[in-house]
Amino acid sequence: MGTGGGTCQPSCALPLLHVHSHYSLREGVDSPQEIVRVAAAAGYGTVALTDRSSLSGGVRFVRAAQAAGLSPVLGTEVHTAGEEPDRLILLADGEEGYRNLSRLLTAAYALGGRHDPRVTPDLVAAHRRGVFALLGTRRSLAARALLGGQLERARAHVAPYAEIFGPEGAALVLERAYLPGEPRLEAGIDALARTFGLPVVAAPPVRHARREDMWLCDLLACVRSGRSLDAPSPLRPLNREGYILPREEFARRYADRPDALQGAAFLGERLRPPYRVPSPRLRAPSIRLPAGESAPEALRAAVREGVARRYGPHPPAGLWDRLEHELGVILDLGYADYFLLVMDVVAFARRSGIRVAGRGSAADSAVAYALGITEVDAFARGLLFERFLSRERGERPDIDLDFDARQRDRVAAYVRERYGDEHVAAVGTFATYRIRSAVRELGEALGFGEGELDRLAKSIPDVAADAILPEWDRYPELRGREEERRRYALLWRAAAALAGAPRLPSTHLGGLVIADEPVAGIAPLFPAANGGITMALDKDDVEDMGLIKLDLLSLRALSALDRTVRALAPGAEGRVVPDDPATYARIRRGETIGVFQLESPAQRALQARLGAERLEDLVHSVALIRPGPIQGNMVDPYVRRRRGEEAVAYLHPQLEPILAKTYGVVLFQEQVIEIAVRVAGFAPGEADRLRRVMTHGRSRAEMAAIGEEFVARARGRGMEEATARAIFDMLAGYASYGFSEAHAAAFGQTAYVTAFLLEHEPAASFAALLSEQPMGYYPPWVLANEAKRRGLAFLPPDVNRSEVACTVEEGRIRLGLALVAGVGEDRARRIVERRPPGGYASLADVRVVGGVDRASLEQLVRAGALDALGGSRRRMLAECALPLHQMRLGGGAWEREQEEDFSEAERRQMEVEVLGMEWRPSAWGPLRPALRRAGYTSSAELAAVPTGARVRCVGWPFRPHRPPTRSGRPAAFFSLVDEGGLVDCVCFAPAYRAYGALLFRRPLPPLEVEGRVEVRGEGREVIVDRVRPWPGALASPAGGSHFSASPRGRSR
Amino acid sequence: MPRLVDLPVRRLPPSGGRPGALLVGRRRMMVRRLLERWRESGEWWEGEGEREVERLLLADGAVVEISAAVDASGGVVLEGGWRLVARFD
Repeated sequence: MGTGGGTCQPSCALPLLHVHSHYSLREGVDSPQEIVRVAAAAGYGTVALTDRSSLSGGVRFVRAAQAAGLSPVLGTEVHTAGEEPDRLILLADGEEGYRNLSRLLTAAYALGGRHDPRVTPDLVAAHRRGVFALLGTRRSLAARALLGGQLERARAHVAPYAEIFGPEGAALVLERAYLPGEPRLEAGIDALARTFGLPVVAAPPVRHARREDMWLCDLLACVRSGRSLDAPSPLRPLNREGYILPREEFARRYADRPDALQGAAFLGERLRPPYRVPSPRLRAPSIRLPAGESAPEALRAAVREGVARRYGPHPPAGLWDRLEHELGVILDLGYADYFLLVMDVVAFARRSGIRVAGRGSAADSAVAYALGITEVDAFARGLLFERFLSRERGERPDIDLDFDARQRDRVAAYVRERYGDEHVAAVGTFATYRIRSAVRELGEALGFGEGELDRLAKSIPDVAADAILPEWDRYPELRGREEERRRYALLWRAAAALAGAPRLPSTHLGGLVIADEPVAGIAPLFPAANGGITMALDKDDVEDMGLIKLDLLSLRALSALDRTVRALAPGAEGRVVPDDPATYARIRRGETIGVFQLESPAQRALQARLGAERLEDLVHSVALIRPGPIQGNMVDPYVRRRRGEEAVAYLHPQLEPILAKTYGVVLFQEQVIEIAVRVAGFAPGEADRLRRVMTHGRSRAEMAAIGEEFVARARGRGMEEATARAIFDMLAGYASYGFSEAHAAAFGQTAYVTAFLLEHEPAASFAALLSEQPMGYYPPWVLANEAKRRGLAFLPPDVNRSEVACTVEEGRIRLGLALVAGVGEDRARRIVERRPPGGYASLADVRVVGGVDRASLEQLVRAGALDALGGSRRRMLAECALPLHQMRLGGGAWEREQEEDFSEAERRQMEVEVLGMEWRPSAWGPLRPALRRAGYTSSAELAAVPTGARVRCVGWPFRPHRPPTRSGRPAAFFSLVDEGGLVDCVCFAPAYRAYGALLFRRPLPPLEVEGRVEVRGEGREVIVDRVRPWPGALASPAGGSHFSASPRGRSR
Repeated sequence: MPRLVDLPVRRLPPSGGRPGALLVGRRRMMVRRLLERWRESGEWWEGEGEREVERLLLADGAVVEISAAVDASGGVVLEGGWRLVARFD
């Protein structure tokens, strides 16, 4: 390729050839988009993004460069394997070069692992086509040798790559960043250039776009090297010169080296962009079909079969018109293969007995329902297909499938097997900096101690990293901490600067990409923590690359449902009847802890007022309790209208058929689209685009422009301007809380089934919920409390009786061994599988036969799982510490020495700590008579308290949180847990300001609240005006164990 | 071993075929050549600004380092602010 010759005038098109973005983790400061913005403003025409062992910023970079009229070049700085890693910059020339870099980084990850990708000269040689190498950067081994005066050694470092790439494919770089030793280094670089016949190019390195941001780059280097600011590190920048030089300064700095300027300019002109964004080509796999059958034909046939299966021989009138419309769009957009693929995956799950449910906007499709992908009849519900897919929008279809969490990996394995390992990868994602992660990482670099940072991180709200200072006064727990605001000023500033920047590559929870070619040539792949392979691009980027994404999500609610059903007699699921009065009666009482999607305090409060009596009410509930409807003040009007307490009114008669089912309230995204179509004459796809802009755009100018278009088009159809504006304002008010009706319908169905089973099979249901933790809104101790409130009893874990998971034993819930912290499923399974016919006879028996390590054995003792063997826990714990040969073997012959065991309170505390819940009756129970005498009201007694009455309650606080409120003013919500259930509490602004600091501190003691009761439907909450730690001055019948009964337990 | 000093110094550029020189008080030190130049950000977290450092070979064979602050834009060394900071004999 070469870099040409001749001279370069100051006006020549200088490129930036060595730029790192924040995808060079803990090194680069700016996003690729910001780099493009600054580079374009500085007058550059070509920029090469060369992140360290990463091409992850590529899609955003190329997209931004295209928009700014820059020529984007993608490259990467690779590190070689070995004790002393070398570094070289590899630039892709066009698509071939990019594909080779992608494959090279994939090989580098395979060689060095996820956190330390390494290349070898052989790997580089194998991927050299279309790749240009920049050698001799300051951190390369050659440069280090030259700075040390070792020219021969430098030659040896450069030689392998000079040979691989030759003078047409490599150059040596002059960096000129005002660093010590530059004249010596340049002399050496020139000598190397002469030796190998390589050209020299001007390539000042960039790690922060703006000069003034060097401080952040330095701080990140400290984090990366594990040093504090006071300590030197070779990774730290010495000065502020690693920024995007104004182009004139670039030319001036190299004015004495026209050869290097010319070389850079020539290279910038020669290197071609790696790809276009979005990809003009869909890389979807073709489904394997019988010879002669095309995908469109196969899809039509499958739909015909599905219709017969779903509707029988007489499908409803109009169904086929709808299906033909959908098929037309699907086939026009080229997605026949994709639908067949998804159908195939769902069919595999069904025939393998794996519970699956399609969710999201795919449930707007009647074709998806016919194919068995979803269980929501889009035709019968009148759902709008265009919310899912439209010609106008032209986006990839996005089908999300929920699977029993335990089986999800089996489904992913099937996809890999069916389409070929090389064609499938998990979608990547990046954990980004939020305030707590920023505090922990940056704080150490700033010299704060680990303990101090831990306390600080736990005591601040988990907000976006740039929100802490602007919102300081908003949070009572921060107000008054002025000393901390000042002491950590630099930390807050650094955290804000890093807000949203990538921190850690990771794997998307469910996304898989399936391509028609090996995926390693599309983007680098890295080994995931779970042993799979992940593409180092996030979900938006994979779509821009033309890849088809399939979301295979793990849903523990489905796992719990499956466990419940399997624990019951065969056919139990078939006995779930619709509209069961007892199920709805419990829902109406707000007793929905454990019910999928309906269990949060806000949902329980809604259910107590709503009066649900059919599935549709649950579907609406799922969509109602979202930040938007709450902030938009939609909940109360909806409830009043649902209860017939307020007339249903419409802004225009045209809205009635669209909004009648939701009592005139705009609740679903589909309704926005329908209104735009009917009122303003938008095409359905156009209307969905409008919905998306309203949801995501939200700038005043954008909204105003859309509003004018809406009003103009509505007027064109004869509507009065004032009415059209009022309708648009209603939609605009709704826009931020869009929820798909299809999604709500899919979730609503699962919610009903779990509610039914909790009503009629509570023991099996709670056993399943406890076995599937963590899931849902509540931790095990709250679930256990609720089970006890409903009259269920527990049995402790027992090595001779328990199974791996929780089971039902004569109506009582026997805790599973896997529930014991530190034991885990694998060890628990071993204990159960190896259990002798007569049971384990001794501690040593459990250890040897059950294959239990010492730490797990101790945890089992603490949990009480060995109590039935007859020894004291104190004695058993002592024996656990002994070498195996000293443990007493055989026959359960414990010596009954007169050694005092732990007290009852101590035993209870141990259990809570290792089980994360209290299986015995609540410790509050024995205290209740004394508490009652002292004037405290229990959660059970609260049910009889009239509205407005003042009460005092006490219990363990659970999950204080600050959801968005209607007024926008901060308020805190939390529950107190006592022996009878939950007391739901609300702290509005004055109380929150006064007691917020107490509510959000850790650890939380039992709290006492005072306030006024508010009756809402069949539910009650306490509007709190006073909070304090429970004084504990009461004489406790449990001998002070009220504090030790903390169900905070362990962290799981 | 370097000898650390902190003295104001004037840089006299080469002119009329005469080499450049440093003026420290009344003492003139002839400069044979600039060995290298770099910039240091200093302890920015303590409010220190950036400095440019030049290492010069003097006619008498000694090596000295002179330093001056760099303005915030990074483009200009603040003339008049040069100081002799080290001497290697």
